[in-house]
Amino acid sequence: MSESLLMKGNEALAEAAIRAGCRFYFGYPITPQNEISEYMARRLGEHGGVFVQAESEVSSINMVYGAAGAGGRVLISSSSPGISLMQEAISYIAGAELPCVIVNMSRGGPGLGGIQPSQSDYFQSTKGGGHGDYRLIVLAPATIQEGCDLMATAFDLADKYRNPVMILGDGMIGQMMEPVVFPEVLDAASLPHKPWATTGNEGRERNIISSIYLDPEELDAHNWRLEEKYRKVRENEVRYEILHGDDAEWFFVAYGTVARICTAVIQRLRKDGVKVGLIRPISLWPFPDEAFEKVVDRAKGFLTVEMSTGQMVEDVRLAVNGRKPVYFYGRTGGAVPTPRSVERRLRDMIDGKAPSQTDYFDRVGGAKK
Amino acid sequence: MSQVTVFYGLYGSGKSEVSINYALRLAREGRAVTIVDLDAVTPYFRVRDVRERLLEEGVRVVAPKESIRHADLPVLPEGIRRILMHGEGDIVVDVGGDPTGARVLGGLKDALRPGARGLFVLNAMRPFSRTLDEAEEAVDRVTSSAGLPPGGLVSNTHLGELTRIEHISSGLKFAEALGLRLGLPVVMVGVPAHLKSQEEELAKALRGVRPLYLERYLLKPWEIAE
Repeated sequence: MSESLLMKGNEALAEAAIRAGCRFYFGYPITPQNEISEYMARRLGEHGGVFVQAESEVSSINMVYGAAGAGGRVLISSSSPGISLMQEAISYIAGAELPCVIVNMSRGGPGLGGIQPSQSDYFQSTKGGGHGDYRLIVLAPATIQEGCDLMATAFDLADKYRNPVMILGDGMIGQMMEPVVFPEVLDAASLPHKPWATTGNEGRERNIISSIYLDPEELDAHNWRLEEKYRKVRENEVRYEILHGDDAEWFFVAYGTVARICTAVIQRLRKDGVKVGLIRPISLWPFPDEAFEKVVDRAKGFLTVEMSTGQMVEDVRLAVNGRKPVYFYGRTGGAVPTPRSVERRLRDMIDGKAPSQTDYFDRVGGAKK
Repeated sequence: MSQVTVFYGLYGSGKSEVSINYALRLAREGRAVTIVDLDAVTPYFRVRDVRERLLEEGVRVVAPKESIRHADLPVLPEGIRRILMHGEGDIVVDVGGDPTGARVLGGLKDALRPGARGLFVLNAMRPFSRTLDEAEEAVDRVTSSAGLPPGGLVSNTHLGELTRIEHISSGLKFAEALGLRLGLPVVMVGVPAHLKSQEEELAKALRGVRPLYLERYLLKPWEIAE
């Protein structure tokens, strides 16, 4: 095992991708993820890889389509507005069943928004983003080490299901520094064989990569085949962490940076004897309904905390399905919930001071402490 | 004698925390101090993000104005040339990382007064500083881009909260070996404040080089106690 290094999240994801066998990177600069491109520009060539900074996000994601079609392990990264620009091609990539990994170090939106961290791309990542019946597998790391580990998982899942996988971070995950341990560089010979790839048709029928199906019956069949694949993903690729699942009565639900904040608050509250825990979805799609089944009978309530006006909370409500109250607290646009403000919302919930499950954030969210 | 001290180095080598802690140390010694945030490449964790804290301790903060603090633009502080040339008291300059960030100083080098001291901040646990060859290249690229030859090294090898005395000790040896190659002294060793209590081991590791104890000011959201 190699020793620890001190890495920024962005650099660490880039290094982890190289070690997972990524040899193609395409991108276009945008804050706060530029260290991924910079790191790849410097390091990928040393491993015989190809780095291209294209003239736009639209161009770079279509290069991903090409390189993935040729059988490579391909990474692309951007931040919110850049990811929006890529949606058409992401739909094509999913439709043509090509594996690739997309990193979104999200920032405040909508529109040009700002450059501070945000989680307001949850809907875009988990509910489509582009057109058509497709899904992205979406993984959300809360630590830099977890980001590195998930990068290897992301490439494996992409190849296994022939589908794009997104690592959804936020600017804080990209910019902060933590010690990490990397695995050894993967032996290229151990990567899965891709008999469908366009690698030259000598000695076999030619492979065609396309997402066009003009015959309605054929497209219908294609879509149901994709759905069957997504059913397998739902069955097999749910990832989550539960903290204090054995005795907690009140649960935070949070991912990424906000899960770190909730974890700090839990340590504080537990010292006061408050029985609070955390459900931390790691796979945002497929959403870990299963985690809620494990605790819902005993739980008295759930408080979803997000850097958005309430996106993941919809999936939490579906999972809890009216059995227990689900409240929401959010900050947006780069404003990050403070541990103190999160603690106060949880105490309000316990004390029955939360006004209602649907407008909690309207009454006490925003800039008020 | 007032002194201009410039901290430069690679991304994430700890320049901002070193600059902040150094400025505060000077202020606590009773000196008039100005800290200059010359980082035009980093979007988070910058000197300007702890402006209030520095002002509280009497450190003057020169940074892009508050209304454009979050602009995604390489903005320089107003009056930067005049401050570098004629500013009173000690001046501590935090330069952006890598040759890219250092280039900003390159454009201002005619404003640096003679005697300005460039200190290269080195963390051997960071990428592109893992070997002496890499570190030598880093010093060369960053300081040429900055247009200010290095006057010394700051050994700032650490692993965040996981830093142990061994890291301080091996980091210092690494910095000294690099210094030998480049003809540069190691003038300072960054030591995370949580190691301060291990006095004996620390003294052995430092071998007489002066420590700069580093309290962390640029905190992650979950570390902020309020």
